[in-house]
Amino acid sequence: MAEEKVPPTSKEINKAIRSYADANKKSVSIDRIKNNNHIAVGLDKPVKVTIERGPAGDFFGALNAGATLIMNGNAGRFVGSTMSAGEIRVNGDVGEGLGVYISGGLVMVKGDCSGSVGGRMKGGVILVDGDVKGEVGESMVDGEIYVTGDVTGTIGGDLRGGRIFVAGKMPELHDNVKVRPLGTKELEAVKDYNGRFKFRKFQTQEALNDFRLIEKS
Amino acid sequence: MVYDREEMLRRLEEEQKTGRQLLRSGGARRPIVDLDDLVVVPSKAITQGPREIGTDVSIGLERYTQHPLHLEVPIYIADMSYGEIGRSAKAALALGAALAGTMVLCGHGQVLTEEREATDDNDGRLVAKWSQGRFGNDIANLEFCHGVCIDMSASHAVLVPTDISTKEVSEAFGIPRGFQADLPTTHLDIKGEDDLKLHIDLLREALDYKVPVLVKFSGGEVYEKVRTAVEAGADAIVLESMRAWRARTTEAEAEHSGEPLLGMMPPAMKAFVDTKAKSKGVKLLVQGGRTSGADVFKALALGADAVGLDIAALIGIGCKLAGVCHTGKCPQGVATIDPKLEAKINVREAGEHLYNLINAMTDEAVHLAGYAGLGHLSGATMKNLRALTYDAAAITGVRLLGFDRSLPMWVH
Repeated sequence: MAEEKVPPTSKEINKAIRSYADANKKSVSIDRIKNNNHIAVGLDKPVKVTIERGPAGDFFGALNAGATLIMNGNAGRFVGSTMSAGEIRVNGDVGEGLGVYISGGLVMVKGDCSGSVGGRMKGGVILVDGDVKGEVGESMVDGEIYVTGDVTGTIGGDLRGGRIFVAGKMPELHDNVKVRPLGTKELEAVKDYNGRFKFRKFQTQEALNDFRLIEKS
Repeated sequence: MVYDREEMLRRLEEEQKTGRQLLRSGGARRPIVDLDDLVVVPSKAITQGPREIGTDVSIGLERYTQHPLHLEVPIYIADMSYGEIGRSAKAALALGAALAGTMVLCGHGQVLTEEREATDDNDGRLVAKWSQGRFGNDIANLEFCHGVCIDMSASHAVLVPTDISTKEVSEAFGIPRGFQADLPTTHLDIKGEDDLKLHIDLLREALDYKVPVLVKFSGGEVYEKVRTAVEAGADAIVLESMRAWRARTTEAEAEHSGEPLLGMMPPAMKAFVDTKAKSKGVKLLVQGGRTSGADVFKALALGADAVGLDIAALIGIGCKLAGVCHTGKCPQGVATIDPKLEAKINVREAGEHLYNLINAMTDEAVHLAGYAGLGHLSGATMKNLRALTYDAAAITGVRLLGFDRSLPMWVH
């Protein structure tokens, strides 16, 4: 993977990324960004974008529609907002609004999140290998959210559909949702994700049994 | 306020039976101070009308936009969603607008195949909606359109109830089958004023600075909203008044929420002046229940750059005001997604009728501009208006007829 030096503004960084994607290059690496907002947004080509050092600002990877985005560092608010396909991985903490409005694809965070995770999501998968300090799955319609750590805010407020998996501590649930242990298929799915992403909090396969499933009652 | 005894009786009897608000369609029907309270006058004692009067308007000039929206007339089609109206109706609106050289603000959900074809085949212009529900807002849908409008209006609507929803509605809205498409009142990723600028910048970045970004508001705190949007870098502001057509609404929402257009214009124009918006190329669009070229001219004279049609456009494609939009059983095939009813619309014919209607309304506005001695519709100002009523003069600052001056509260 060739390392490319790119100019510092969001517009210039995005222009460079887009030119690589339009040229059907498979990958592009960016050495460093400094709190730039809107990095790698609206990409619909299957390009792999790696950012070696952060932090990223708000809306990292928003409107992604097919790219694989890797952020080695923290990111701001609304990572992956309104994404429809592709994959986003953040190796660090993120701000509020992770994966709001997503309708497809996968967002993975190895770190802690502020609230509003997966709000109004209509599909896709969100994985948080850490704690969520706030709400999860507000007005969620479809898709899946996995949290390996603790959740401090409301889970599934106004939940319409979809499934939320939490392994850590969680607050008392509202009447609109119910909680149950994982079935065989659901446990297999968790194990698959653990095999792929190596959850930090789970050193043994048995520990994955801590996950519980929250869905609409 | 009781303004229709039969309507009141029907509503209260239904609510007495069901314990729920009665659904209805349309916008505010009761008498409110409006553009009919103004008349057009020449701006000078001696005027000589030019032979040709310009009608075009551009959105996105002098900003960051590679492809501004050029409208041949200052009339466009306001946002109406699939599910509120049918596929044929949406295609006819897109066709009529394209033939007239103007744009359609899209409703919620993805652009339909029929709309795409009508737009592509006739050099049309569609502006995607970026709404609180974010229905069908993937990048492919946004990239197809010629602009994008961030909807900040506060309507809490049931767009498509579960009992009439279909597989096609689910696909267009990007929601699972059997789910009700209802509209939240807030964007989850707009938490404060600064976030509006972040959203405008997000859409510019995602769409590679190609198309204009509009921001739409309904009534309330109009000065603050418009000022915020202009400072955030919007190419145009869309204001929707309380006469706006809705397929499914309630008495409380339609008659008692929002603002009449006359009340929205002065604070909007003050915000435009304070932010030097006009000199930056920012445009002001207004919509909600406008039905004539006189409406268009008067709105432009109050400071608007273009006027959106809702119910008038639906009439243009065949609506007969049956008043049953909320049931989804429009007998004319307009406000319905029932394939049998929709089949009553001949898209080509309906589109051409809408084109005729837009032309006729433009002619009316041009006629008034000639009467006022203007060379371009954009030259209309408040000097071309007089208020027939004290209320209209007090609300707008337009000179009161007879008194022939602005009322004292407007004299600084």
